[in-house]
Amino acid sequence: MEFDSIITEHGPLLSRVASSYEANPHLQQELLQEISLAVWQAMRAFKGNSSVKTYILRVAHNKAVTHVAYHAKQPNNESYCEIDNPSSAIGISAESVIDQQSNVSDLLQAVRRLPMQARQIVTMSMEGLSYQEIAEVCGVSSVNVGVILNRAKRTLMEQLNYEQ
Amino acid sequence: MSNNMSNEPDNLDKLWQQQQTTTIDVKALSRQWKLTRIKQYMYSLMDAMALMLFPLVIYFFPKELSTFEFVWLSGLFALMTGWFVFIVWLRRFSLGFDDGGTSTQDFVYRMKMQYRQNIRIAHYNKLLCWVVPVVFLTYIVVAYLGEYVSPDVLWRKSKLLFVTSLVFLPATWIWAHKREQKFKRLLADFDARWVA
Repeated sequence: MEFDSIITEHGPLLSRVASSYEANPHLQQELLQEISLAVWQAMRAFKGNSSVKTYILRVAHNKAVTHVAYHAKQPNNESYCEIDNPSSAIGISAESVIDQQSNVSDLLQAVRRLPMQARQIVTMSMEGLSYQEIAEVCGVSSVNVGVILNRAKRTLMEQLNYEQ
Repeated sequence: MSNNMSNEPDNLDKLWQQQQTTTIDVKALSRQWKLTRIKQYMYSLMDAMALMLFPLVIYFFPKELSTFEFVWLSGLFALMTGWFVFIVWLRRFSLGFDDGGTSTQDFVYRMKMQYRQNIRIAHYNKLLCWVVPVVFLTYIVVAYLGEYVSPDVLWRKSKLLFVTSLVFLPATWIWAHKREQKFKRLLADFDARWVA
């Protein structure tokens, strides 16, 4: 599979992984580049044992873990974290767009506050991966995935309700 | 946040997909990839050159070396080879990394191991900064007492070894100390952040 077509298909997915780990847009861009490079390198070793999406997510999250490890002391500057108009918002009223921006921003902040493993599991779930696929990526049992995911979603809902 | 959104966990998935994403510049990525590979080759070349310095000196300047110096350089080459093998062994966790085939739990374990090994490597590099002057001094004393090298040549070489010890070794020690402290801090932060 050509890298260009992988990026075209899964680029937004990689971008969302980067945004779940890094709030600062400059570091987010840097992380996205690192993740894309890692995916490029790792695709050579892809043997088709899982779906391309699962494989890419595994590479992306492991690279993000490395990024977090090396940027542990970097300030998590939320003031730079602004969500621009989402592409799906074209044709919607200004009020709806602002409301949607606000919701997305709140969700991102709540996701970044989760512990690393919970953050990883909940974002992969929101990307449509099954319990089994998430379990393979994280190296935990499917039962644990279910427990952590339910707890994480409950935490997200509580935080989003609290912030409204 | 609107109530209909906050009451439905499934709507979180839809909201998640609505966030704005950044477009990846494949051309810039290609340039970065080439640059990264060049850097990796350069580092490998520097490592190899540092190790090959001794046999190269022995090969290209055999007439300028006394038997004692030949034995001394050969001994140092053997020690350096052992040192490099040891460093590669310490780095075995990072050298064998496979991002695609490793679960995150294993990856986190390897990251921690890599940090610990980097701390050890930095610590041993600091120790090496104390060992090297002793090796230099041993060479000068043995060469002087055994009269293996003419006094003029020995004096010239002693000055060179002294300047090397005075300039490069403290700088290397400081660099290694900073690396040791950096990886200790990173390991502590990583441990605190990663709640498995």
